Amino acid sequence: MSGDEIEEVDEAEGRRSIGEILREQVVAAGRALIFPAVALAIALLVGVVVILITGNSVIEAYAALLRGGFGSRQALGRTISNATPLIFTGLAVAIPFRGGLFNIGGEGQLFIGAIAGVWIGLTMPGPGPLVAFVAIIVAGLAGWIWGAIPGLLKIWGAHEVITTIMLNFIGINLTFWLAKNPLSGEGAVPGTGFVPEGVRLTRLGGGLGAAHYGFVLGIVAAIVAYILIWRTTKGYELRTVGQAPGAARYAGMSVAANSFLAIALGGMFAGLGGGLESLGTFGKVSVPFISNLGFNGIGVALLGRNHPAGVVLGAIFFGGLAAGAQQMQFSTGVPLDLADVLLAIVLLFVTATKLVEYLLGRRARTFAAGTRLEKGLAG
Amino acid sequence: MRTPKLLAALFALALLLAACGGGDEGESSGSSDASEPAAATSEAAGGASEAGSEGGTSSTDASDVMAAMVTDVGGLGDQSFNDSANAGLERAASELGAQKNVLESGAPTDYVNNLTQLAQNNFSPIFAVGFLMTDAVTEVAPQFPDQSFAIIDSVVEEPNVASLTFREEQGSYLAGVAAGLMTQEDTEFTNPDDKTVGFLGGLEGPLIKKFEAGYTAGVQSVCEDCEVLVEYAGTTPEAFNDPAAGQEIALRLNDRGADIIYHASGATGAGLFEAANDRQFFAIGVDSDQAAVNPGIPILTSMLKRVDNAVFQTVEQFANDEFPGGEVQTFGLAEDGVGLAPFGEFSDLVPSEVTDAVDQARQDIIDGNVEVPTEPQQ
Repeated sequence: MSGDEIEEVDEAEGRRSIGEILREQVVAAGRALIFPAVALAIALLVGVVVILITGNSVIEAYAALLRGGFGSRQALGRTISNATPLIFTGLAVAIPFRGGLFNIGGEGQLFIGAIAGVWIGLTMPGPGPLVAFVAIIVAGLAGWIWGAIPGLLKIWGAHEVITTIMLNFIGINLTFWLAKNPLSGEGAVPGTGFVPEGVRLTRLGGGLGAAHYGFVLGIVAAIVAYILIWRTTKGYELRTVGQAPGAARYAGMSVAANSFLAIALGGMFAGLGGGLESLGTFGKVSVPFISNLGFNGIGVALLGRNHPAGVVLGAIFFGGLAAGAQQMQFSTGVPLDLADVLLAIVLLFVTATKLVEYLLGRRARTFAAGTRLEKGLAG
Repeated sequence: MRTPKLLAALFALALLLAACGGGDEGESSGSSDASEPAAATSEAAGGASEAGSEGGTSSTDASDVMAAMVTDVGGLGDQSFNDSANAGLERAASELGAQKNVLESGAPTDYVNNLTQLAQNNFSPIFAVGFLMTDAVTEVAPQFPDQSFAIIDSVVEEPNVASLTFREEQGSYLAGVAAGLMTQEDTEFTNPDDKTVGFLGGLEGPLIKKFEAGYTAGVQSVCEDCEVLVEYAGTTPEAFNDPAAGQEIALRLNDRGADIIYHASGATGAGLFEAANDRQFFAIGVDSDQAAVNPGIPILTSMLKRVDNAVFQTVEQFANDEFPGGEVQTFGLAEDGVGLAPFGEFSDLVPSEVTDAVDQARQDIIDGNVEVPTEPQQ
């Protein structure tokens, strides 16, 4: 978690001691974490009420929640497995957001990537690892295309919020149609057949259950996204267009081209996430398929303040909460829905920046950087 | 100005925390007591099952049975097979003294996790409710060969998995008999001039085709020149959850003369009920006694799918060391796995010949005199 503003100052001065820089980094990270931490604390307090209403012990329930998310190798495996696609769908929201666009289309982009990956996995001959490699690339490309469509429509004046929502319906139903018709497989669960064993992503092993190497790719993707957006000229343009389109235009940057790039990149990440999920976790696309990963990506991005490092942490938090809720359901009978309640409250407070500003004072405003929705909707 | 606000907020937080902390302490003593016996019994159960397998034929004490189920994404409260399976487990708990645990699945990724979790905690038998879990059971069951699994509405070929399937066509046949006779009666809901009935299916596929086939055969067994109009709501899972489409189809079928419409379409059927209420024609419900939960709406009867009976019987078999692992169990009329609900509030409109004919058809099927098709004939 590093504050971008700080690092840019770094480059300008470049003469300060390492200790000073380190100190500032720690302060920046701390500031970045304050908002989610306060939100989490409030959510957990509300959760106490919910748990008491269900007639369970608060300590036992929260202990189970923690144990189920992070308490054992198996729990960690579940958390990682849940978090893997969310890193990608989180990036799919965060990157367009930095370019001034609000991508609601992660769900459709993920589905298109998932079916594209399985299509290659089922039909391409050759050694497993090579097929898997091509399949993942194609999944990313398919996502790129699905993100590029609203990018183009944006240039022609259609708002991306509307077009991405509409493309979700098309993407999801197109995927279902493909899975049930040309790619349909045998078996009781409707959907495609399983891709060959050699094409499926290798599991991490070490008692981590279903967690696969897609998680490692997720971390790599976050690093690539960071470098792309904060360490390249193109990324600088993209962020400038996002923050001040007028100034960017005055400086000779193309608002249209950068908006297009931002949302197509977002689509690519969602598509990659979908491909890894279908090739790694499931080995097929079933009907119905995993749902809401795209939409949860919005929450992950907000929680992670639209920063790649924050997205990774946010995804792990989301994944851990889902895994923990399952343990809580098993050990104490607290319904699965509590996890959703906690998440919703966390997101509510993370996004309700004005409220927390009121509570913490005006200084908190700087902590909230990167979470303001209006910035995303303005473009 | 800011500091007091911050202080006040912190103070409020601290108060809340203190209050909760107090509550926690009070409860934690109780809860730790509660958790110990649970751990103890699970050990005991593990010991018992070991003893059972070593001892060979010795019957497991039913109270040692730890039965569990995993719902599909429909979850509890679906008023359909998840609730029905849960009712079966509850009956097993109260009548056989079995322990029970129910895990709901929020997403398809949870299927494997939930099944694994239950298996690792020595639950057996573990019911996977719904064909959507077929792949998950195929993956998990071989990892726990000493424990028993059961899947509803699907077939998994593993030695420790019992596959519980239903003869929906048999129950639908009875619904067809009732519909075929009632459409020839003159009541406020039916018009004898138009010998037409309807079928509203959810997702078009082999499972719902079984309902259609049995229903059509039933209608034609009592009314050769009756016409059965068939429409499906769609080809995606959404077809089971689309009341608007259900209503539209029901109105269309009614326009074409259908005065009794049987649905096998999950929540889509709510649209049929609405249409039946507006136009005053008969609907026939599915899975559970839908007339009982929709009073005032002209629902003639319902085809019952007794997942609860299947679950209960399977737990009972497990307790008696007769678990049908590796077998496909079919629950039809004879096994009380399917049936037809009583005519309820409309029984006054139903002549005794109709109830007699339904009873006769039931007996004929049980005796094997009538073979009900599982695929539509056309």
